[in-house]
Amino acid sequence: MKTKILELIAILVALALANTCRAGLKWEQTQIELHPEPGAATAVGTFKYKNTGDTLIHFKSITTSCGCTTAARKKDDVAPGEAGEITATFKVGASTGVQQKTVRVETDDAAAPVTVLALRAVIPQMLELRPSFVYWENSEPAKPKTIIVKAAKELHATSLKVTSSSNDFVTSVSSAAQNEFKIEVQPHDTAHSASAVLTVQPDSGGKPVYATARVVNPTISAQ
Amino acid sequence: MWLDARPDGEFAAGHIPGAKLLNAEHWDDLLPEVLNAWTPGQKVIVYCSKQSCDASHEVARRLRDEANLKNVFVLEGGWEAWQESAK
Repeated sequence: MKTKILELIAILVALALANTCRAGLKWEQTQIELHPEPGAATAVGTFKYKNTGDTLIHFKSITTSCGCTTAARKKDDVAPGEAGEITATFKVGASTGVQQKTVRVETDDAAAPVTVLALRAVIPQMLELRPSFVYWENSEPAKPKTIIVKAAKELHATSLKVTSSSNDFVTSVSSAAQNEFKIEVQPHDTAHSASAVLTVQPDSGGKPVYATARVVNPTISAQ
Repeated sequence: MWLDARPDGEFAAGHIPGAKLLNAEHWDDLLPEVLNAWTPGQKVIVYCSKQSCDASHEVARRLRDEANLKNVFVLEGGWEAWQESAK
């Protein structure tokens, strides 16, 4: 009986040691949330790791969920006890709101061959248009429609300039509240199809945003 | 209307016939053409791929919240599911 208990203890110890030997890459965090400054071109997150095992770990591949995100590492192999990091860079472009991108890390660590790192970037919108699309259907009265523009306070906008790509529409801008404006858009008529891109730019400079206006004939699409 | 939310290169390599490209990377450049082709009441179906699986949801959200479009849907399973069904 005593022998069997000792055998059981030996097996349990061996299993525990085996698990310790198998310990591999440990990540400080696998999810990072970023809040880039308004107007920032990129959002960068750094994922730190350490090899807590006793065998070399090799990175087989590191891929990202979209072309807008790149992931860089300084070396392909991580020695036991060595620490390192993978830098994920999200290119903001025209993205706004919450952007969630992932980095898939594949190693030769049999215990955990794949780790998915998550990068969540909250992109502030400098100028928010609601809606960004106004339209009139054929024979609908050619009354003005309103686009509300909310400007980020960092923009320090006191007025907006709105230009239309087409003379088929007229626009007027007024101030609604602090950092808020109203754009009234009106077609000359709704008897035939028309469309325009409205370029909206704050007086304080910065990147313009765009709205679309259309007169839609439901039976004949604008080409 | 089919909208492809994947990166430009993936769209160029193959897409649902007739689909228009609309991704976050080139939103301002691509959106006007999409809105000019849209007609009231039309169903809009956005898809992406397993690789870029967040993209279609984000594009659909922006079309609903910003452009105020109704009847906007996301294709479950994305590009890969369509390819499988087309076999």
